[in-house]
Amino acid sequence: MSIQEPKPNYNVNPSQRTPCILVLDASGSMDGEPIDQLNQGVRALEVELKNDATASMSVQLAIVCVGGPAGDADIMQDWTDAGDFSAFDLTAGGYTPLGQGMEIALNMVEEQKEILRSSGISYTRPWIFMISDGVPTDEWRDTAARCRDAEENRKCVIFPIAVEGSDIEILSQFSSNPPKELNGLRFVELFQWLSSSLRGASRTAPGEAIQLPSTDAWAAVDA
Amino acid sequence: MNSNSGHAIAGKEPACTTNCKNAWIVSSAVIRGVSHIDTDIPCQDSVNFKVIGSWFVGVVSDGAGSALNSHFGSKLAVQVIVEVLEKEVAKRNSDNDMALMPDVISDAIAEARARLGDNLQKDETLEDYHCTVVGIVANEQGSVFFHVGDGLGIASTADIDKKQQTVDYWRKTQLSLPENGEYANETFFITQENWREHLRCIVISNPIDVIVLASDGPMALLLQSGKPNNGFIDVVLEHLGRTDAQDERDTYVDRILSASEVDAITSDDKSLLVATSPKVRGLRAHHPVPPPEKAEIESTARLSTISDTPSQLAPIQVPTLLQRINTTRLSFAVLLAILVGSLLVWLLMRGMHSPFTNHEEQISEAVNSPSSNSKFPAKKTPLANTIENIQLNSSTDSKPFGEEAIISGEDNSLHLTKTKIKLPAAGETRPVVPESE
Repeated sequence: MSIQEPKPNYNVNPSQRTPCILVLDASGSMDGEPIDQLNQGVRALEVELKNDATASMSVQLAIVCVGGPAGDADIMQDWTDAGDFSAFDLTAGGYTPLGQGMEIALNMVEEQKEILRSSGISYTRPWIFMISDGVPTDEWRDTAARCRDAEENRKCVIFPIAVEGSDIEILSQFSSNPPKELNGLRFVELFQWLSSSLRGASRTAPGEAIQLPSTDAWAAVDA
Repeated sequence: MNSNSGHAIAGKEPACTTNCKNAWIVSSAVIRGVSHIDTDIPCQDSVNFKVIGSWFVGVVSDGAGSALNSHFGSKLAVQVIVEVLEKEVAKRNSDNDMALMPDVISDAIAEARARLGDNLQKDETLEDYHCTVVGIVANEQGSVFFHVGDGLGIASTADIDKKQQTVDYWRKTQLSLPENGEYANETFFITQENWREHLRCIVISNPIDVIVLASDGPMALLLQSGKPNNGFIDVVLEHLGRTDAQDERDTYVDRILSASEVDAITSDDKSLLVATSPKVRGLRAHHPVPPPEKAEIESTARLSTISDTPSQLAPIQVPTLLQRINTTRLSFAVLLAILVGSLLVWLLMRGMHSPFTNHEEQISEAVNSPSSNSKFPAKKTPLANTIENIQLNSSTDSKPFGEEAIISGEDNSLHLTKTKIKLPAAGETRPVVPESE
C-alpha cells in the first residue's frame, strides 16, 4: 500500500526513440558454439538495455533471422521497446539468404519511421546491425546496392559484423561502413558495445559522422 | 560541483539580492547526464545570465556529444554572448524597439564564433566546438528569443486567474522550439559555417513575466502536447516563489533535474533556467498559495532524488505526512494491516501445534470478525510505525531506476575502457578558452 504522493508531473514517456534492427545469421555453419554464443550475446543485450533507465524506454529492437530451420529469412521479433524485449534462442540450420534478410530489414525500418512520425515521436537514425559468418546464398547484389543507397540518403546506418569464415569483401558491399571483424566468438562483448552505443546516440550536425565507443573489446585488430 | 561549469559562471554574477526588488529573479542548474558520467564525457551544457536593471539576458548552450571540445564551446559561447548583449542593453532605454535586437544578437553570436576561432589549437576546426544556443533578451516592454539548434525557450505573460484566484502563468505563451533534421540527434550549431541560416529570432512585443530556458535533455519535462507542461512547471514556479534564498532556489532546480524520473527520459546533460519578473512577485503577494504544497514538494523532491547528495536533502517531514493522510485512508490501512497480521499469526499458530492450542479459537475468531479485534496484538502497531513503513516503501519504489542506471554504467565502463577520443576531464582548464576576465 502506498500513499498518493502529489509531485511534479514528470511526464515519463520519453519523446524520442532509437530504432535498431538485428539481422542475425543462423545458417547451418553457425551451428554449435557460434549460435550458442550469439544467443548469449542477445541475452546480454536484453539485460544491458533493461538495466538502463533511458535505454529501456527509448531503444526499440527488432530481429530478422537469416537461415535457421525454416531456411528463409524471416522476422523473429517485430519492433518492441527494449523494456519489453525478451531474448530467445535461435537455432542454426539451412542456407544464408542474407540479401532477403537485409531487404526485410530495410522495409521494416521505413515502416517503423512512418509509425513513429505519425505518432509524433521523434527518432534517431535507425541502425541495422548485420552479423554473418558466411557467404550469401541468394541474390544479394541488388539488395546490397539498395543498402548503400539507403545509407547515402541517410535513411539508416548499417553496421556489418563479420564472424570468422565470412566473405568480408561481400559484406563490405552492404554498407559504406567497413565491416568489423569479430574477435573469436565475443558476441557478448559485441552486444554490450551495441547497448552502450545505442544509449549514447550523440548529436551531430546533419551529414556529419557519428562517434562510437571503442570496439576493442570485441573486434579483431585491423591488420 | 565540477559538472556545473555553466552554473559556476552564472554564480559569479549574482542576479539579484533582496535589495533590488524590481529585477528578475533567476534560478538555474546544470546537471551532467548519466551517459556522460558513464562514458567519462564532461558536462557539455552551459548556462549564463545577467540582470541589468530591468533587463534580463539569459543563454543556455548545449555542446554536441560528437564534438571533442564542445564543453569549451558551450562555455565560451554563453560567456561571450551575455557579455556582448550586456554592453548593448546598457546603452539602451527599456522602451527601445525590440525589433532592433536580432541584429545585435547576431553580432553577439558572431563574436562568440570569432573568439572560438581565435583560440583554435593546431589541427582544430570550429566543428570541434559544436554547440547550440537558446537565449532571450527581455525587459518590461518585451523580449526577443534567439535560437540555433535544439533546446527550448518558453516565455509567458502571467495574470490572475479570476475564477481560481491563483496566478495563471500561461496567459499568453510564446515557445521557441528546437530545430532538428529528420533525426532527433541531428541539429544545428553556431559553430557551423551556415549558422545564420539557422538563427531564429522571435520578437515578443508585450511584457513577459515567466522565462524558461532548457537544453534538449529535460525538454520532455517541460512540454506536453506542444504546450507548457503545467503539471511540472507550475509546481516548480510556485516553490521557487516561496523560496527567498538564491542558493536554495538553485538547489531546488538542481534536485528537480536530478530526480530519478528524469533518467527515464534522458541520459543527456540537463540545463534549466527559470526566471520570473517583478510582476509575478506582486501577483503572488496578493494571491498566496496555501502552505501545504510546500511540504509536498519538499518531500517529493526528497523521495525522487538519487541519493548522491545527501547533504542537500530536506529532512523527512513526518508531521506534514500525518496531516496529509486523510483519516479514511488511514483507518483502511490499519484495518488491512490487522487483517494481514492476524492471518499471518493464525498460519504461524497452525504450524506450531501444541502450546498454543487454547489460543486457536481466539485467533480464528479475530480473523472471522475483524471488528472485534481488541484481543489481537497486531492492532497495537503504533501509528508512527505504519507511516514510516509507508514512507519507506514509496522511497524504495522510486529509487531502483536511478540506481540501476548507475550500476549498469559501471558494467559498461569495464568494456569501454578505451574510447577513440580522449577527452579532458570535466573542469580541467585548458589554454584554449581564456578564463573570464
